[in-house]
Amino acid sequence: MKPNTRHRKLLLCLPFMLALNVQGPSAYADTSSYIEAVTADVEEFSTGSFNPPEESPWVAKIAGQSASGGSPQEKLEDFSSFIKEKSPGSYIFYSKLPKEYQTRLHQDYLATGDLEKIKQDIFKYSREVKRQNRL
Amino acid sequence: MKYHLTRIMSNLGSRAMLASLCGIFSWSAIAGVDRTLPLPPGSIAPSADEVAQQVYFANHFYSFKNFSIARRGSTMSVLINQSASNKESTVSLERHINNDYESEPGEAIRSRDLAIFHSGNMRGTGMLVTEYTEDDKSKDYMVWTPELRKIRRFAQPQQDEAWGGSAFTFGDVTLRKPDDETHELIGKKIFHTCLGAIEDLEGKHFRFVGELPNRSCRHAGKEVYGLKSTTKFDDWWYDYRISYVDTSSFADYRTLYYKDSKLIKVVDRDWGLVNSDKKGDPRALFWKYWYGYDLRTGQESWAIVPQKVVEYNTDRSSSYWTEKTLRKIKR
Repeated sequence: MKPNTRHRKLLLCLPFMLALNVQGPSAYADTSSYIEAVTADVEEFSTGSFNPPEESPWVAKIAGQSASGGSPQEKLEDFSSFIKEKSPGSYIFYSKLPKEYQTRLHQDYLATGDLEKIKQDIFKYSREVKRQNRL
Repeated sequence: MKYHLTRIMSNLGSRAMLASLCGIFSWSAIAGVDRTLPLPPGSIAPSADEVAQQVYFANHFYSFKNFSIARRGSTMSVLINQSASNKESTVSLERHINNDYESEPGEAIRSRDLAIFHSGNMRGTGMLVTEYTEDDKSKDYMVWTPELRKIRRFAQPQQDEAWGGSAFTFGDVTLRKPDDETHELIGKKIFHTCLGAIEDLEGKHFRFVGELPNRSCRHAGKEVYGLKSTTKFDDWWYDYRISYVDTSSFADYRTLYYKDSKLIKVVDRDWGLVNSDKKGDPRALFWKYWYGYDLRTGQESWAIVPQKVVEYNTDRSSSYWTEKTLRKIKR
């Protein structure tokens, strides 16, 4: 290969090499929004107020407070949507349960985070409600 | 033969990793904290030292006689490490902890912790960690090496050593004691954010655990103490750390590490209540996952414990936590 040909090939490759170089850091895990949310949260200990980053997917919606992003299943409606998304079959039975049972399931989920147990309980409560209706 | 020896040496060389993985559910003796530590009365606000002791109690599973993250079929716990360049490594394991020794008078053992590894180059390796009632006595680490079919003994690792090549250290997961730091309560507030998770992997199908969890936002809205803990060690890798501690269960959801006033690492822990009827000790909790992010290196680590492999207070005999079990591990 003649030197000038080699140089031409290198020149042709240069934009790709530069592009790779530029793309390098962006290929890393983007945790900046997480760190921003974490920092805003911890600052509340010193400032006394929580100033969340806008539209952060790491800031949870808390009942009675305005915060952006997140879906913590803090509200019963969010929890119902969560069940519908995660287990459409169980949701059919869940949606027919009286609100008190739905609230109980919601509270249990907040405490344990165990979706499998929640699904079992949905069927258990469904049977319970059915039995009560028969009497 | 040469190949086998190389593998053995490699496994022995990574004993720190083994030991660290074992550390996730092992617990250390410290003066004043054992299984008898009572829950502080609700009417009196606990001091910073008391909160630190309660956190230690919860993290070392003192509420349970024994606690296992077993194997159910192909489902078991997994540790995923992702480097800044998205290089991924995975280790799966089962763990069995026995905390039921001190009922015997004069018993020298406080707890035993058995780990069996099921994937990676540590497959078939077992580890038995013994902790003694004497506070000053260090733990015994016995490793079963499948290639040699022999048990090797190792010294207790250092607190700042990386745990399983992850963003967690031995100190984070097991060895750090409340006495190693001075504690200060910096306030009480509502926890607002979701716990961390490796974003690329959230909700995805993954070997050993089925489906990986999504980020946990269940704890948002809970009341937490801010506990500032300053290390007593000189030239340590962090100056102080701030932990979010649940005011009723003493679960530490998040810890932020600072060096020269800069945030250098975050460790999040998703806790689950083993008993959903909410009766009994509120500290009877287990880890659903740990997430760690090291801002210095960009490394992320995620240790996931599927709930269906969690067992506790079983009737398993203490003889299970002996060298005999190590020797029985299939090659």
